[in-house]
Amino acid sequence: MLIKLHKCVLAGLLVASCGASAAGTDPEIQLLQIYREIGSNHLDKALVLTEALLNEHANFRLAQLIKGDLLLARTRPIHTVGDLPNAPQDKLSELREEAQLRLRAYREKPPTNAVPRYLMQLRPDQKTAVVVDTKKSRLYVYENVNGQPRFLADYYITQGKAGDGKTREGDEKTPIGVYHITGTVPGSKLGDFYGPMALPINYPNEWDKSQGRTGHGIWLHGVPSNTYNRAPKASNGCVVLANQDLEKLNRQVQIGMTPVIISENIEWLDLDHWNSERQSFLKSFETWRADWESLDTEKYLSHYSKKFSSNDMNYTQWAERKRQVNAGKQHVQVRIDNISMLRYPGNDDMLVVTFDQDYRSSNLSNVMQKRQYWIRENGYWRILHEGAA
Amino acid sequence: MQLYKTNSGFNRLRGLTAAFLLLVCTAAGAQSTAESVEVSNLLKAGQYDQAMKAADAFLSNKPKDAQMRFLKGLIYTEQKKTTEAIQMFTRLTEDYPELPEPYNNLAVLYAAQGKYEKARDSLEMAIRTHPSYATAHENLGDVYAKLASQAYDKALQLDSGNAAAQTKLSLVREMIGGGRTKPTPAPAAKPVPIAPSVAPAATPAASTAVVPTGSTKTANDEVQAAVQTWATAWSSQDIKTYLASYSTDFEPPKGMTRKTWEQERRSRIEGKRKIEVTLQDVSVSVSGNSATVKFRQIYSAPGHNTKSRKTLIMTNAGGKWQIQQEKTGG
Repeated sequence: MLIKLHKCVLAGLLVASCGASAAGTDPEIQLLQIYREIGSNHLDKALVLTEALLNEHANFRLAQLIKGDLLLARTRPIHTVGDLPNAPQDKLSELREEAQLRLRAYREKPPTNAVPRYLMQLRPDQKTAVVVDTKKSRLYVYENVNGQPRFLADYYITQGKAGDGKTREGDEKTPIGVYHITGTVPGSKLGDFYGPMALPINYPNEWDKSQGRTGHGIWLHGVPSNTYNRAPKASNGCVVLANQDLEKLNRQVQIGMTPVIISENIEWLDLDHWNSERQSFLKSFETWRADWESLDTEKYLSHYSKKFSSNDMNYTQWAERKRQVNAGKQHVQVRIDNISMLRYPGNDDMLVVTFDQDYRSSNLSNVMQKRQYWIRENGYWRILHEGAA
Repeated sequence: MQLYKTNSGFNRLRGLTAAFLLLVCTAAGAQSTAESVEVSNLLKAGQYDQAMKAADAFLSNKPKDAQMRFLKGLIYTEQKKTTEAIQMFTRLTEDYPELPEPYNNLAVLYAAQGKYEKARDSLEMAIRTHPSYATAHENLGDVYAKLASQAYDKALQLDSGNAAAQTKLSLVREMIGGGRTKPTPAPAAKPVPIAPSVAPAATPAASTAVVPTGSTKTANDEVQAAVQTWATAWSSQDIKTYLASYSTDFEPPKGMTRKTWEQERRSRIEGKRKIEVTLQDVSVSVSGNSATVKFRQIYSAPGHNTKSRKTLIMTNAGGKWQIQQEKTGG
């Protein structure tokens, strides 16, 4: 009975040798081993492993559930996971769902030669990038190795009670989009509920605002001390990690630098395709830069969508402005460095491009960091939004 | 739950013999039948101070005697001197690790303190050397259930009032190792639940003994009816009917005479304010004029609750089914 129940969670788990469980091993790896033993009907061994895990993390609720089941199975046949009279079904199904998500994430680990499509290009000084998959309840960390993203770590996460696709204040959803970590707030300022710290992200970003989306206070944070982790859909929209995972993540990210891309379902590209997409866009980008330098305003403007907006201008106003400005210049030099190109999750082809811009003309010199949103219109990449980063 | 099987009776005997020999070899003149019976009687009569005095007197000459030390542990338990009781039983497990009874009683004491993991460890030790020891298995089942419920509470964040409710396990009152003139295949637990004892897990006493239905009375039905009569008499403190349920060749426990045994039963039964005896899972097997009845007996009187598995060997004398043997264990 018990085996059948937990096996339905295992469903297709490939038995890969994982080595002996040792103290200090990641709790999730220990959990996977426990399920493996249950699947092989080594219930005694499973109980030993479960108790070892609970020794280190007494507040790991899923492990407590498994322990309860294994102990109860010694006294009588049990008919369901958590075979108690009046067991709260919502909590039980949350734990069951958590188990399934953890196992699924293990089964569906990203292929080694594939990268998230969203990480088209990272700046050299961006050490890592964070990509969240809400369907999998998983957060992936990629490190920047000479311009190429490489898998570093992944963690189970909790998202908003109401799922993803945040649009307004209080909807209890996690936003989908390209964000970055804007700061860090120590746990001492926040209270036990948030764990060791919070890493706020910049929801709503420029795109969210242009879409009229509202809300605030979307963070990456931890959990209260009375639990190891939270249920898959439990927060008000924040992305929540187990405290020890958050500590690890905190060491892997850079404030103000690390992008956090939240997607419903991460798109993976093999390295060749990833490279060719990158090169293809860089061509369009370079053409824009060259056209700007050339002072051929109409050519320059051809890179802008008619739906364009900057913080205070629409296309017409922008075009007018640029014609004016360019008319008064003899030459312009535009140097662009440290370009990051991040693809926006969702159906539309949209890229968030951030770069350092060094603009020199006969009468003005200016260095700034810029952010552009590019979209594809009729097969052509065009700028939808431009402003200071 | 592990039922007490016949063949393990021999394992039991082996265990008993080994323990017996060990006692003979290690304790100078281990056999202390008369004294341990005396202490045992004082204990049952509730005369703890005297029992302790007698035990200590004996132990001053023979300090290693396992049976007397076991009884002393029981006295401490009745006196609610838990620390001393735990110490006594613990030392016994150290000196005689092959005896399951001290482990069992240690577990009972730990459970009473809410130390269920320790109770579990103790019981698992008892079963290691005596895999078919019914009382230890029952107690262990109760401990597992309690530990499971604690784990569930943590998993599901239940604020169940369960936390306070204790799981009470069954004490064992006799150690087979010594003090018996007639080694029997029965396990150590007393066949009849006696006065002060620790209650087992609160399982709601569901069904009572099966009442024979239908107009055609088979031998099976008659046996069941006799057993029911016995249990009812016991509950209603009808000592006459109760004693009449036992055959003339009934074997009283501990080598008591019939008369002594009857006196003891009388004082036990009549002396209570109230008694309730419930039988569960009754199974009857008849063979000619003999029948074996097995059931789970739940005995409850003010301050005392015991749950045990019982076996009755019944004989049919002149059309009436009576109890010839009564033992604890399935």
